[in-house]
Amino acid sequence: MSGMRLLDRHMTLFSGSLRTLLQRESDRRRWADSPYAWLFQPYMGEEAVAMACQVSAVQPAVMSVAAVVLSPRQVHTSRTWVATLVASSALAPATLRRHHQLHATHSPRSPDAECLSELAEFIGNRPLVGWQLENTIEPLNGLFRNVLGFGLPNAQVDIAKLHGRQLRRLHPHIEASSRLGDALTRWKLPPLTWPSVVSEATASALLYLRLQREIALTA
Amino acid sequence: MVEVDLSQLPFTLMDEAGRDHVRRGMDLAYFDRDEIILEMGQPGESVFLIHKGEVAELDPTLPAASARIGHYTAGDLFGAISILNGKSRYRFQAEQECLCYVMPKALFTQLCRHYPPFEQFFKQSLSHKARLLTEKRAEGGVTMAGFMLAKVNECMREPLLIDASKSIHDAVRQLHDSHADSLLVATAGALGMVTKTDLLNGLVLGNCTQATPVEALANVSLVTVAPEQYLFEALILMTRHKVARVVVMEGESVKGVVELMDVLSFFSSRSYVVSLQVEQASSLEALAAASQRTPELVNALMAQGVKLRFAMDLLAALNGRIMSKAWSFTVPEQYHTQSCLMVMGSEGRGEQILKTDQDNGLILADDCQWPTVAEEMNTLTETLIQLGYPPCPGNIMVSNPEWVGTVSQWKNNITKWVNARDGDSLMKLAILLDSHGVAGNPALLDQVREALFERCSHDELLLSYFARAALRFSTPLTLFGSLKKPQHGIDIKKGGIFPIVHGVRTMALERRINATSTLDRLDALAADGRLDRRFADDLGEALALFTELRLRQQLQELDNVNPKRTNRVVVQELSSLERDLLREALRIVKDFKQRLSHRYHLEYS
Repeated sequence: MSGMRLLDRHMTLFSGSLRTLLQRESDRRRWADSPYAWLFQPYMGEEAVAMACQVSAVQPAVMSVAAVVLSPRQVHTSRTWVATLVASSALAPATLRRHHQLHATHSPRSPDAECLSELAEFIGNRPLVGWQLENTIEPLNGLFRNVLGFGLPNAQVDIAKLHGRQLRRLHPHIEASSRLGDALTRWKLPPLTWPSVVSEATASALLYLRLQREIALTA
Repeated sequence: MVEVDLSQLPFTLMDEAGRDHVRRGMDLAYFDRDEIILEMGQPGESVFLIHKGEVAELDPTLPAASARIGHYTAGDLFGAISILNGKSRYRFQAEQECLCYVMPKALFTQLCRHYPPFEQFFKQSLSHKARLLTEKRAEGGVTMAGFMLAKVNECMREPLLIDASKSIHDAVRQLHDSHADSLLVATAGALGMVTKTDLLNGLVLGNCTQATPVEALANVSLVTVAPEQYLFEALILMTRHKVARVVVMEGESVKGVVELMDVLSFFSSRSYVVSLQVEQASSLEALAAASQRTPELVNALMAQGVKLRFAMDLLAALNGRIMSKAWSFTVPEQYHTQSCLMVMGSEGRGEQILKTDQDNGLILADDCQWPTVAEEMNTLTETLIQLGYPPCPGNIMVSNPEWVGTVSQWKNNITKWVNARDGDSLMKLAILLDSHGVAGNPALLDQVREALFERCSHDELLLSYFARAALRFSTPLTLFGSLKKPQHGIDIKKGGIFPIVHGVRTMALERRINATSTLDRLDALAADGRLDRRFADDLGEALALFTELRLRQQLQELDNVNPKRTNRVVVQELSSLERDLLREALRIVKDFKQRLSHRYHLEYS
């Protein structure tokens, strides 16, 4: 394998730390013969997936997840994956009901292999974007490791950081807020009217597109 | 976050499941300033619903200054027609940063299949859209239903029948018992009517006794309506025929009686009493007072969303009655059968809603001896000015001897004008063609009109010259939204009303159609086969739209301190649906002009 091709292959991974890089490379080798192998291949397309996740503070954890596909011109709100995950629906019915109503998800699903591989299939090997993505991904990765044995290998873009960087560039004296709503107002995007996971994912996708344009302009 | 707003047309034409489908199927797209969203000739792949930002619709084949033909803002929908037509007619370009919901073609076509009304919304002709607009306006709280939608059968009384051979005594007894003031008399062949006044006059002034049969007093020429006609039309009939009752007939059988008082109390708003005031006016002052109130009536009718055609009919009938009253106050009675007062121009077409200039003329019988005609006509003009009809700047008034003449003089004039064929003559012919008799003997006007048709309807050359004027002003489609000084607006009269009115007038001349109102002419042309019904309806709706926009403008100006009439409509002040309608209407005008130039060979002129 020539050096350039190797470079291409790993281009998307350069953003992470050396540790994650090694982790992913070893995952890729380990899963090379499984049906999940393609998830570890580098992505060459233009699409990305915006993620949002809400986890209840109480135990046992109830988690609502939304993933929305976006391309450079559009947010494909018609291609959305959304679910509330809980180990057993008998547990914590109040939290569950709250999640259910707030995020307008369907009946809760247990985070078993079937459900998680469905999500993995949905995301594929496309890069992930999200507002404070680490917080979103961490609990999900925990589930993935427990059930499937690997964490999500995708490249990740944290929009909060992107926003902070772009804002500092344009207005060095303004402190970047850590709230998504503030960022939306800052970039003149429609505000969040309903705090569901889907709308959070959509909003962060829009913000991502907006910032991409901003970067293209100022670059 | 960005919840798509589906509470407006056309999404209200679907059920909740359909809207849910839309909500799930919509994507969001971002467009930069000046980015082309949909290129001309490009196949339509999606429907766009603007959430934020502005989009311009451009015709790139035109020079830049006039390329803009449409403007869409938040909440507007575009791209649907491109899908239905297969490709986009124009270029859609973002004016500002835009956020649009995007509905893929597959979903759109699926929705069209499932919800025929939804599909109709996009395919429908202008008249449907206009109806939706009226309905929307009616929902805005005004009580249109009360006035416009009331049918005759909601306001009629049971018919009280009396046998023709019964005596006056019996009739009075029956009237008293049933608290009514009219009776229908069943005579041998036809129906007649007697009122309390008839009975009283018969007893006191006539030579009747209480035993005389009612048949002797019955009035057999009845004005009838059908039960499903609008109450409004009954009111028009009463005004026109100067009666206070109409009989409701269904086929051959009597269903009831509608009395003027009932109609008025049904409407029970003071504004509608104007027609009553006109009838009751016994002096010029009273007539002037009633005449002053017509703008108020127009305002009330418009606020209630009355269809313009009916409003125009009512106003034309009212104006006619006012003129005729003024005529009867000034002209001695012996001349009434020997002369005919005609109104011309917009008044003659019955399309004058607010009082504009008086355009009128007088036709005298050939054997008429009337030495003081000039004097009395001057008085009449003065009277009309008092009544609120401003003098005509072109001096087309009865006070001008040129517009007073005997039947043969008029015929000579027509011949002269037809031969001259210059601008002035053609204008006079057009004015005369729209004339409508309001007082005196209308048979005289019919003779003149017959001569006019005789002389003109086969003269292809004249028709061609005549039709040319319709193309004189360009359709302001291109000025749309991108005027140099937008506050000046577009001239709706030159750009929209005149081409339709004049084009239809030309066709009516060719086909010898007697009706003078443009809408009636359109009906007649459609019945004649000269125009297809759909196109005629579209033209009618377009005309109604222009007239309405102009009227609204004029009513606004009426409230201002210095009344200066303009025909300009400022596009920016219209709602998006109205803008859409206006654009569509102007397209129809453009199409009509093309047909005219094809039919009358105006291509090379």
